[in-house]
Amino acid sequence: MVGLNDEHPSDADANTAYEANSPRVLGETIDSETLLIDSRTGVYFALNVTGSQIWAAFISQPATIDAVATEFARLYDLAPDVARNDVAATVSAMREHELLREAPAMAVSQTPTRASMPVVDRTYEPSSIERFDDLEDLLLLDPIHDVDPDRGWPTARN
Amino acid sequence: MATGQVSVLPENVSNALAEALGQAAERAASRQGGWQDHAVRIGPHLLRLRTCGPLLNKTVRRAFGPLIEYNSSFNDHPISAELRAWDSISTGVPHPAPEWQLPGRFQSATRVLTCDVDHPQLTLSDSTTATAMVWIPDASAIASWESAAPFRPVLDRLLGDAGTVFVHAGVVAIHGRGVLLTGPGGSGKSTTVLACAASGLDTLGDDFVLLDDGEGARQRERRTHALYATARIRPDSPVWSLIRGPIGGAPEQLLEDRFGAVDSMGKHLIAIDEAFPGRMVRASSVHAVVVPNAAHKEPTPRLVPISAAQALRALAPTTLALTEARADAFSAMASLCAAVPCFELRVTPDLRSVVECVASLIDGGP
Repeated sequence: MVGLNDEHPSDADANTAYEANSPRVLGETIDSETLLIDSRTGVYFALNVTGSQIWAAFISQPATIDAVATEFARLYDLAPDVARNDVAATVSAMREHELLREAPAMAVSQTPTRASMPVVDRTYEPSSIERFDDLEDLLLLDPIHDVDPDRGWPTARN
Repeated sequence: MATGQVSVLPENVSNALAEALGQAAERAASRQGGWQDHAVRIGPHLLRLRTCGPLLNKTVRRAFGPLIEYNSSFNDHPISAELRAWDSISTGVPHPAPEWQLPGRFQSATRVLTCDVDHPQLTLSDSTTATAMVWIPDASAIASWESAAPFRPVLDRLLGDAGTVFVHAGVVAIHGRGVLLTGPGGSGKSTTVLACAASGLDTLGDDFVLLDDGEGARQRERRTHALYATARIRPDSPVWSLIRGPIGGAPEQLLEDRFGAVDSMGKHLIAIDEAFPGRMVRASSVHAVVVPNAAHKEPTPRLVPISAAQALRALAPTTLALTEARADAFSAMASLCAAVPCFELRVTPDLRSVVECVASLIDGGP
């Protein structure tokens, strides 16, 4: 599990907008928790409630860290620096895992100053991303060409 | 999920290949006195599966078993998809496209070509016409796991877009009310499903099922459909001890007489309806998602509620490894997990108690 609180916030440019790295990254949110699957690496990620909210802010349109942090602080009644640190660390981790990518420069000027984020009736807890690579080999296994000829899927050839 | 490198298949090459394969297929069929047509009912889909040669015919009859409607007329029901399959040894028709010998996956605007060399096979599917052709050099050399679930990637391509998604899971049901069991290899999924079938519960299979999706499906009761009617099971599996009658207790010679020799993995390929008569059913509702877990220290089996997100984590990655309709399948699975209660099933070697757990969930669930 990757805790984000003890990571240093990103020094990303406040004018940089980010967007979900789709269609490479598939995401589904249920019960306010999100599962993201990177179809290229086979690694998948579980986001807690606040991580899911931050992710949601980047799905429908590009957003800046400041815009997301502003809305995040409002929803949880957080001090601005607490909200920004959490959002910046989450974005940094999501960029590191290539779940988010930088949006084209032209998108920045069209980005609202306050991001859109789902409201969740929960107490604030710092954002977290759990990374799972236990099925990485399986996910990357071509079910036609990479399987053991005798055993079939999901056994990889040696 | 990542189905290897996909190369471009130029449209003119694709057209020429389709023509060559089609001509070879018809030549093969005519040498065998025509196609053997199997009307396979898979959920809302009617698949016309055309084979020639006794071995492929047998493979299809065993794999799809009671899903084949022998009295169905294709004139009365619209066909969802058509697949033609033949092999060279049985028909004497040589490799239809000998220039395609390297393994790979190729895609044109409308067709997908796959070439395999380890368990040799050439498939060409056309999404616009919902048709596919499968060539195999020798039907007697088909791997056991392939015989258990023949043409699966092709069927995923043909049927996956039409309001249903492939799911890597088994289903157990009582009177049409079912639970979906999912988990990676070794979790106890297949053993639990087959133990339930051996104990008199119905099943839609232990490995792959079709889940309804699409417009309106999410508003209704969730339904699954059987895709294959086979399973692979070891002669020393405790499942056999649950069966009354001549094959109960797993006397190995009886199993071999009935189901043939074990494969390279030491498993018998069984027709579920033959091993557990009357237990293979075509469809059921889904009232819970169950994730078996054999890695625990508890003395008795029990069901532990888990979140929808945890269930999705068990269900989605293994399924997405198999399907090309990834976003649709992911969305459908998330929707299912959110709609029904989800449980971890802590399984133990006491299979009778495991079956009781599952049966009580089906009987008493919401």
